[in-house]
Amino acid sequence: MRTIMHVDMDAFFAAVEVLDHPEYAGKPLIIGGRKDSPRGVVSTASYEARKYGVHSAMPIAKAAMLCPHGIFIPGRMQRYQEVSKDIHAIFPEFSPLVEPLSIDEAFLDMSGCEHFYPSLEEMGHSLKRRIKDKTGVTASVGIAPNKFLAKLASDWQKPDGLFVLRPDEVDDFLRDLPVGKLWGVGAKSEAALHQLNLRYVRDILPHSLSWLQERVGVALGSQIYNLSRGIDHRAVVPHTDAQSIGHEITFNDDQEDPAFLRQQLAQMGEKVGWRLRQEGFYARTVSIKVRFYDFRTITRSHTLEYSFNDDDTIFGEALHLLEQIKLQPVRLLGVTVSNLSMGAQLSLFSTQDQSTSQVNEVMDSINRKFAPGMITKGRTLRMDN
Amino acid sequence: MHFVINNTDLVASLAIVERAISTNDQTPALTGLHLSVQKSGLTITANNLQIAIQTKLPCNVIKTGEHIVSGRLFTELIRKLPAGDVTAEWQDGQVLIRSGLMEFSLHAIEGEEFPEYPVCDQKIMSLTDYELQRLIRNSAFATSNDDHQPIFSGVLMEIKDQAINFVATDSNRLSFVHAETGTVHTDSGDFIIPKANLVELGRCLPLTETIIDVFAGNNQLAFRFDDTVFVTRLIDGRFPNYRSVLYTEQKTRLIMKRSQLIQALERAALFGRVDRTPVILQIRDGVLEIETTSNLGKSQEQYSVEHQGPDEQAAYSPKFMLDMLKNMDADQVEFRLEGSRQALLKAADSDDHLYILMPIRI
Repeated sequence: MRTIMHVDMDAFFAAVEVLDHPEYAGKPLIIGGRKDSPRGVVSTASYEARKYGVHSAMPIAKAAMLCPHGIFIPGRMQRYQEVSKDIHAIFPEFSPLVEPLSIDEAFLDMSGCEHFYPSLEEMGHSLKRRIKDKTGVTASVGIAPNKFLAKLASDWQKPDGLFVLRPDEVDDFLRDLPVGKLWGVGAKSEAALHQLNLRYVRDILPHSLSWLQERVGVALGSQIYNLSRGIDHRAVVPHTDAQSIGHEITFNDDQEDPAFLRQQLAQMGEKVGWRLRQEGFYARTVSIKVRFYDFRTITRSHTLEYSFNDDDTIFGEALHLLEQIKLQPVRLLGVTVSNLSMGAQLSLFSTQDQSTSQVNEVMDSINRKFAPGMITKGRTLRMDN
Repeated sequence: MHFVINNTDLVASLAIVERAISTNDQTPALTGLHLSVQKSGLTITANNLQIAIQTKLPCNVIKTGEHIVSGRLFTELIRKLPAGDVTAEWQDGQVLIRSGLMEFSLHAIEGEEFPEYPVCDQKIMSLTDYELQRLIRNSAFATSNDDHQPIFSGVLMEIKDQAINFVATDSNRLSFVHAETGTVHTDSGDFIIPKANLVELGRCLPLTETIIDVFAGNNQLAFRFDDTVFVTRLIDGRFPNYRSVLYTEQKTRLIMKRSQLIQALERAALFGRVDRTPVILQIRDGVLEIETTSNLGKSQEQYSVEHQGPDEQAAYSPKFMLDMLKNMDADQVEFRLEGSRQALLKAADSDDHLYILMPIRI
């Protein structure tokens, strides 16, 4: 039997804001945009704001209606990442098997480490204490025999919660769970299950595997069959290989001006190139993603003969891809590089330009020393400032 | 058309010709086999416009004539018949096949023109089947699978100064194979043969110390052996000037056991993707260190090797090195390197097969 711990920070972005601005404590905070901006969506709402019905992914405009006196903050991703890094640095003290899920979430496989603690509860408490002491923000922790149950458990007594689910309690715990809470059941599957009159886990239990598979498909059928019995064999996977590095931006207003889009591409190209070089990768493919005013989204990509990690190539290729698209008002623009490798395979017949890599090296070292974006290329700047 | 033939002979010939049967039924005639019976015997032809193969075999001719039958059906059927005599006869728009008490009638592919067999009549060289097989095997693996640069998906067959060389590159590594034997009948010539066609040719070779005569035609090349002619189309274009990169004067040289190097690289490759994660080779005072680091961990191995020249260090793709090492049969291999310049891998005791590879910048 395994012991899996799921750690989930409580209203993480809002918690970091309160940390830096104690005067925000106890106030409804809405992170994700300015109140007067029509476009943004809520990325995090503090628990006080949630009382007004504000939740993440809600349009800012709607949040402003529900909670007019809320404090709206555009968000400081860099600062959140900083705190996140501190938190993730704590996990290896507890287990060598850590699977980071996102900026504020992780699984820890604690199997075999149980006897270091007087009880599973104490194990959870010591992690919560360590996070609170080191960073000042609170986490909710769930401890259970597998990932699926651990994640449910961490959500059970949020915020600042701790819930231990023992093997013999699993069946009772799951019985009254709505099917939508099962891992992998999204809105569409949930509707399909409701159609079959399966609303809670207890409704699924009487049915055989084949009965379920005939009605909802082989994969989903076996998944809900297993999960409703508390069975989940997924392992905690320490590190997944980066497949791509990308950056995207949603504009406040739809954008059509080629000069503006070009400048945005240049900015994103620098960010992507910086991350690529920080991770020590080279890439061979550049992709762009364009979402138009009507939410139609297209991606275009180009794979080069050689590996690159410089901003010029990323920007040049991205711009070339953008120029081949018939422009309409653009809502979102993104640049991604993929086909990553650890080094640049040199070519026999072309001499790759060494000078651009030197420029990047110098710029990177300045940006590392001061702050990212300290030095940049002219094409990333807007004409009007 | 009416003939009687020994089934075992027919199966052997079909095994060669079937390689040129087209699987694309846009042009039905190309999915067929062209059977032609003349006084001298039976001629079977397949042509998928990439390669064309024709083979002649003796048979008991009752009536001459020619017809096209479904290539796949005819081949599979003949293969499944018992040994002994088979009769094929054209009757009422069908090809009747008889073997013992079995009778089959195959619809002929009619109203279709079978392409003229390409003419290649300028004899350019002759070599043995074993030598040709060696040239193919040691070059074809280094081609590119990228369709965007057709030149790199082909193997250059070069005749120059009475020598025959096969050269292939994907622009990151290059394999150069020199024919040790063979007779040249022309001054010079460059022919770029599509890799897939060359590999098919390699599979058809009799491997009985047979002499293969090679003829050039209009953008085609014919390989003639026994009663078979194998024609391949050529890739149009200029092969890059490979001699400018065929550098062999690297200052640092080491010699070691091939099997040792293969095993070390295979272990290192476990730590990453074999085509993505470089291995670092560091040679210092006769000790070669092979090292790789990835997010999965780290491997480090040391070997004492024969070492000449200055200490050196560079990173290479383990896949590129293994591709070559696994194609060789030498016991001892020599590796020459020099900073970020191209490296050379070859058998320690021979210069007939040179493998040039570029390092990885990390």
